[in-house]
This record gives sequence, C-alpha cells and structure tokens, in this order.
Amino acid sequence: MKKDINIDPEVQKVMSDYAQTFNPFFVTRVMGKIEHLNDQIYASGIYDLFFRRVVVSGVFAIAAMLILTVVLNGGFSVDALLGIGDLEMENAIAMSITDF
Amino acid sequence: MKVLFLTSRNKTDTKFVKLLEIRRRLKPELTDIEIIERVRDGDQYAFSILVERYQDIVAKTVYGMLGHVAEADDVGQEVFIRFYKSMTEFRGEASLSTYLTRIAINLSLNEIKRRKRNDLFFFYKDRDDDKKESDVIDEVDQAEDYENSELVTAALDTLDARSRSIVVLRMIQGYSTKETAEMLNIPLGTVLSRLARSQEKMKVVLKRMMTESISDY
Repeated sequence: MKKDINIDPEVQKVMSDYAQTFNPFFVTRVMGKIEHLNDQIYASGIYDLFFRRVVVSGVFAIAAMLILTVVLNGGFSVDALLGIGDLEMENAIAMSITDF
Repeated sequence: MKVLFLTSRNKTDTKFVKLLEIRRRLKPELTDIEIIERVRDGDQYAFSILVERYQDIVAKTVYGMLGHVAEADDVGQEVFIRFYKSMTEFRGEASLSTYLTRIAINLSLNEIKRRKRNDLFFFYKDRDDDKKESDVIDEVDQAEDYENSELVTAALDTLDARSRSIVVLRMIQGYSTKETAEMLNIPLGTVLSRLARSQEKMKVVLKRMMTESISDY
C-alpha cells in the first residue's frame, strides 16, 4: 500500500477556493445546441428512411427486369437486355426505311 | 435583415421562456437519475436542470486545464453534449459529477493536443501552455492586483497537461489520490510522484498569496 502524499494545507486551501463559471447564458447555449442536434438527428433519420426506400425499390425493380429477361429470352445476351432479341434483321431494316 | 434579426431574437426569447417554465415545473430536488429518466422519455428540457447543476464543476475542471481562453466555454458545452449523446450508456454506477469530470478532462486534453498541433503548424510561440516557471513568477510579481483564480491559473500554467489534470482532480475537485489514478487510468505511484513535483512547482507561484494571507491575520 503506497503512502498518500502530504498536501500543504495552505496550497490546498488556495486550490479549493478556486472557483470558475462559464459565460452568462451557458445553459441556454447548451440547450440550443442540443435542440439543433435533435433536429439534425430527425432530418438524417428521414433522409435515411427515404433513401433506403428508394434503394430497395430500385434493386427490386432491376431484379424483376433481369428475371423477366431470363424467362422471356432464356439468357442475358446484349440483345435480350436491350429488348431486341426477337427482332429479325429484315424487320429492323424495314423499320428504319419506313416513313412513319 | 431586420426581420431575420427579430425572428432569431424571438426564437431565443421563446427558448429562454421555455427553459424558465421547465425549471419552475420540475422540482429542483429531483435526483440525477430521475432527471435522466425524464430526458430518456423525451423531455429534453429536463436536461437543463443537469446542466445548471453541474456547470460549475465542469467549469472548474475545464478552466483549470485550459486556463482563461475562449475555447474553454466551447469545451464546456461539448462536455454536456457528449454526455447527452451517450446518456443511454450511463448506468449510474459512478456519480454524475465524476462521469462529467472525466469527459471534461478528456476533452480538455484533446483541446491541448489540438492547440499544440496548430501551434506547430503555424509556428506560434506566444501560447500560454507549459510556461516556464520563471516567466510565470515574473508575471505574478509584476501584477499589482490579482485574484485567487488568476493566481491558481498562473500556478497551473507552470505544469504540463498530464500533471495539470492530476492537480485539477486531486486538489481542485477534491478526489482522493486513488480515485484520481483510476479516473486518469494511470498507476497510483505516477500520480503521487507527479503530485509531489507539481506541488513544489506551484508553491513558488502561490507563495506570494500564501504569505500575504498569513500576514493578514
């Protein structure tokens, strides 16, 4: 067991009389910052929720389109992904020269 | 511009009135834990009671660590905001004053580190940190009039950041040597040796006030 230090009573008295206070309206400033913090948390919560919904819907839509492509065209060829898997060359030429 | 000014002023006034109402509504004899429960339940203005209750303890710690600088007020605010953010982790095993003091010491040490980094970057040389003992004694001797707090700040200026934290906890806040060691997470022997050295250093600066107070009797 280590022996505790002897603190000079006069030094101790001067040190324990040391008093400090923050600038006026400290409590109001702290509460203002906390309110701002809560607003930020609320705003970021809404943003997160909205962003999550958009991302989840987007991912589901892309997955559905890919599944549909595989089912209808039997693979992931570029033509199938572009939706022109069933298009014949003659039809394509005919479409390009036809004046609609 | 005028409208903006009026709006922000009204907003501040409303906040102030709100705070007064809450202080009137909440009984001052509520314990810390009861207030924390209220804040957790969504009554964020109950937190102002805690801020009011502990601001002087935090001020003593922060000003003791940093001296009279503008950043001390910001660090003090940050102490309460950190506590507000981590309130769910507070289980009441230690007293709230100990918990807040620990946050205040850590944030003050971070601020001192940040200052040193800035000083190194901008080559400032006239900062008050870790002043030489002789410079402080000269300053104190030259000052015609001084208050206790100024003298203690001057005495603390002669110490490095780690020793200052020990002195603030042990001699200003009144924690035991063992508690100080636990709070700073350093061995008891280190606290004892640093405290002895710091006391000798500070005595030189505090001597003037001590001799004057003796001669007053």
